[in-house]
Amino acid sequence: MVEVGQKIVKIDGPVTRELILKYAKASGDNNPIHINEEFAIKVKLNGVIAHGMLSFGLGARHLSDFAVECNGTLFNLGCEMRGMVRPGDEILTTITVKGIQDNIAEIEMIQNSRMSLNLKKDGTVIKIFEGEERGWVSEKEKHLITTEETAEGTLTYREALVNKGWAKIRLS
Amino acid sequence: MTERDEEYFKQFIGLEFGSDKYRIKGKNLSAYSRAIGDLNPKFFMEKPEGDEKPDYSKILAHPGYAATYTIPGLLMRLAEVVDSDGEKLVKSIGKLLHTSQEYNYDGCEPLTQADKKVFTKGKIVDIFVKGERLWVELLYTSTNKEETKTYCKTTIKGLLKKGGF
Repeated sequence: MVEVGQKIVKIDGPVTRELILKYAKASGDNNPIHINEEFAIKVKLNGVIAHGMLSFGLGARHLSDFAVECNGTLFNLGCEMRGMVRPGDEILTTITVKGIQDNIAEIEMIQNSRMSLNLKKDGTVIKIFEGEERGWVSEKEKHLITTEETAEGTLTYREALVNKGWAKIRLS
Repeated sequence: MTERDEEYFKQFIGLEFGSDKYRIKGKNLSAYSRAIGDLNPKFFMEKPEGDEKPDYSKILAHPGYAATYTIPGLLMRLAEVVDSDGEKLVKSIGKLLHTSQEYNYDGCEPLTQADKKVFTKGKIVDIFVKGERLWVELLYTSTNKEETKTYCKTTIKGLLKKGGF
């Protein structure tokens, strides 16, 4: 039973360079900004970025799964691309049923990337992640940095919008 | 070259291009689904061990798979568009950003390896300057060669940054 307001959250990743390569091969998108570290540095990206269509693809997978759960058919999906995903990022996909009309569920899909920066234990940094090492958080994203208590210690990370998406599922 | 104004870009609205041909192979449909982590047997088939030949005939293209036969067209074809004087619309392809896409499968047929090839035609449906950027909206229709089956209707939006148009 699908209901307006129903929400599911899925976490993918961390995205690895291997996954980016696998996606490049599978999709035929071999743009060097995704697969060639030297090139990505040369064009001032400070390292490779994942394909926008990879993060959207991960979201499409969750939309497809949700359609199966609803016993429905996913027949429309899209997104506006708003941000970059780096190796090491986790992708949080939030799917919300915004409305149901004429047996069609209108879905919102928000995807955020979570970039781990460092891990502290008793106030001492015990691990620095690539995002912090390479300065991947821009000045204008600094306000998006936050912390979370985990079993390993205090994790500092930056969470930012990657894709603002939508979908339509025909319910049977 | 003279500065191009809003009126100049209107000549491109309705311009059609393509069709581009894409080969559809079952192993590629399956590899795409694996890459995005979708192991639903509707879209994915595990490669059998040993010498056994995989049979991909039962799987369908994932709803996200349209990225592979529409997005490349945005870059390739837009770079070739010329105005009535033969001047290129895009001055620097490096300034082109893909900003959004929508796949519409309403009334479309599922795509399988039996279809073998997809033919994608594009059309510029809107183009305008806003905030020193050129915004372009394209509609792609992906069909079989005879255009008797439609697999996906895709809307792609992109922008050219200053210096790119």
